[in-house]
Amino acid sequence: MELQSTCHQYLRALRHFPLPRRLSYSSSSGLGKEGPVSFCQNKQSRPCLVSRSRQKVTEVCSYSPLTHSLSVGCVALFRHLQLPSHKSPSEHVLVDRPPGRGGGCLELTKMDAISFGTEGNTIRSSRISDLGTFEQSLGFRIEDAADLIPVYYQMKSNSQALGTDIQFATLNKTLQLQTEPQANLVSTFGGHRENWGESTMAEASPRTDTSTDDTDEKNHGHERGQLTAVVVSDSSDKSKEKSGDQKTLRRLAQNREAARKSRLRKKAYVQQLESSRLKLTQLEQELQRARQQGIFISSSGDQSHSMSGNGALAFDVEYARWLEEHNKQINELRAAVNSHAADAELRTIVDNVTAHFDDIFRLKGIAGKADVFHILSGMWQTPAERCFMWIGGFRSSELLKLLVNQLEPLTEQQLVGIYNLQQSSQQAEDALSQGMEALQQSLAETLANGSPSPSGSSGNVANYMGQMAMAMGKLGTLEGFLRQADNLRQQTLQQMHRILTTRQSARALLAKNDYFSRLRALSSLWLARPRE
Amino acid sequence: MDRVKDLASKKAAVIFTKSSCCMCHSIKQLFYELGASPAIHELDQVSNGKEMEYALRGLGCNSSVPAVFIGGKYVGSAKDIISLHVDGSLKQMLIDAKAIWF
Repeated sequence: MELQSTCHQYLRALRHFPLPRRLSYSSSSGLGKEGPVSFCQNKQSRPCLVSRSRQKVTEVCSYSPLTHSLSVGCVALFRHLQLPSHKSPSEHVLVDRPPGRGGGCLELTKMDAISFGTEGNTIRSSRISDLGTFEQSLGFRIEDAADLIPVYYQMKSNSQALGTDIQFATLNKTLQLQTEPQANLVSTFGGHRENWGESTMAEASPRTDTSTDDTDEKNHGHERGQLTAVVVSDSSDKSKEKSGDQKTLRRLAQNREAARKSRLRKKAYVQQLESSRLKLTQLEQELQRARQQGIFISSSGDQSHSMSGNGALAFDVEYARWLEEHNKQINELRAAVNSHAADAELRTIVDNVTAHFDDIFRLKGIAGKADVFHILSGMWQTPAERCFMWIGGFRSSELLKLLVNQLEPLTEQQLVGIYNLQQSSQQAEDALSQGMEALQQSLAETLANGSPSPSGSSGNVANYMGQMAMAMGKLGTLEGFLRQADNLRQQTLQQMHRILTTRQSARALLAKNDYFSRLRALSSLWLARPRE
Repeated sequence: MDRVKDLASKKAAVIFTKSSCCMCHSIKQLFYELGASPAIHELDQVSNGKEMEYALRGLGCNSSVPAVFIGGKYVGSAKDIISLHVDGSLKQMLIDAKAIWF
């Protein structure tokens, strides 16, 4: 009885075993019909099962080292089994079918022991033993291989000393713990599933169950017409070993718990390290960028000192903060749109977003006064955004072209309004562009006007100074252009929202954000692309 | 101021500019694009430009030029013009003042 239950436990363990996809296990164990099985090695030194009564030697084949070892262990188990002999002959056949056949199978048929069958072909007849043991037939299929290498090693060590309850109980426990990712195993059992009760692999949480729990709470319930039987061990036999088992098992369980905890801690630590590393690289990049802009980074935290001449850096920081806030608001808006919120609520959120846009325009204005070239250069934007920039920002007419397609359905009036808006912004953009061109030309003329002066060097210097003064004056108008460009953008956005309904406005804001965030993502991808 | 007013009423669209000002250039271009042909007075090339500039500054904008008058009335500087243009009012004003017809 003991050995029988041991055997079942071992079978259970074997079941966890990852086989290649096409293989499957099924197990039927009606023990006891046959004479003892013995273990031997064939000519190729492969483990084989030999049935004493039949002298049939079959090889325990395996497709993986793990299977192999388990099979070896299994076979070794059989060596220890005292199977009651019976009259009827039986056969051990271990068939290794070719994979092409809807699944290969590793089959040990017709008898006790294990029969591994293909799906739909799982049950091999097994006779009910005279001992009155029940028939247990399981069939299951392991879909995915799992990494049970630690199990393997443990089992390997365990298989050296078979036959003790404790060993296998431990084995089972280990498998329980290890098969956390194997929850799918249970689900793939499908119609062949057998409820092993608490002691099955589905539950990954470490248990402090003792082996007595395992052996006592056995399988109950018939699943889908499958005969499931409960392995009941005679508790009277085990009562003496219970207390000893309990203590040992409890200790072992605690050890496992501690090991698991330390693993988790290590994992958390590693994650922390990773994120810190990322942060560090980000900071380094920012510092690099700041240095490029020729800003003095004071190592001490002298606020007043570092703020002067830091218009560009300050703006970058403010922009980043603004962008973060903007994204939060957009997410809120998206949630509201998706949940079909009421118009009033949408209106509030839309107004918040547009008010937030006013913020950035104001910030740009301040930064433009401090450092117009920084804004115009677009260094505060991602590369892709920068490329398609127009006077320090996006082109309103382009944006409208993008959005109008996504805003359908629009009424006739709205369509006309949007079209007019598009045209107006285009005209204003053209006008401002021409102004910029005129500025550049004028500046070029001023600087290039090195009229050779007949007077001496002082005259030249005076000339030079005059030139520079004029040029400085012209450069000052750059800030005006930036301001007007931003004004155009702001006005265009406001007008657009006037034309659209609340819901359309919401969608427009989402679409705008989608476009720009994708453009930013594109920049990141581009920068991170592998270069040959 | 009188001179300014006088000149402003002479035509439907009048813009006071300076030849060196590029923003004025932009506003001029905008008007041409709309089909208006405004009267341009370059303050740095007119005899009493300085006075007029002083008078214009008194109208309330930061920079004296460009100063736009439509139908004799002061409309504003660059920023106002662009804002009005975006919401379509500028065009309407020009039509009303008969500076343009469509």
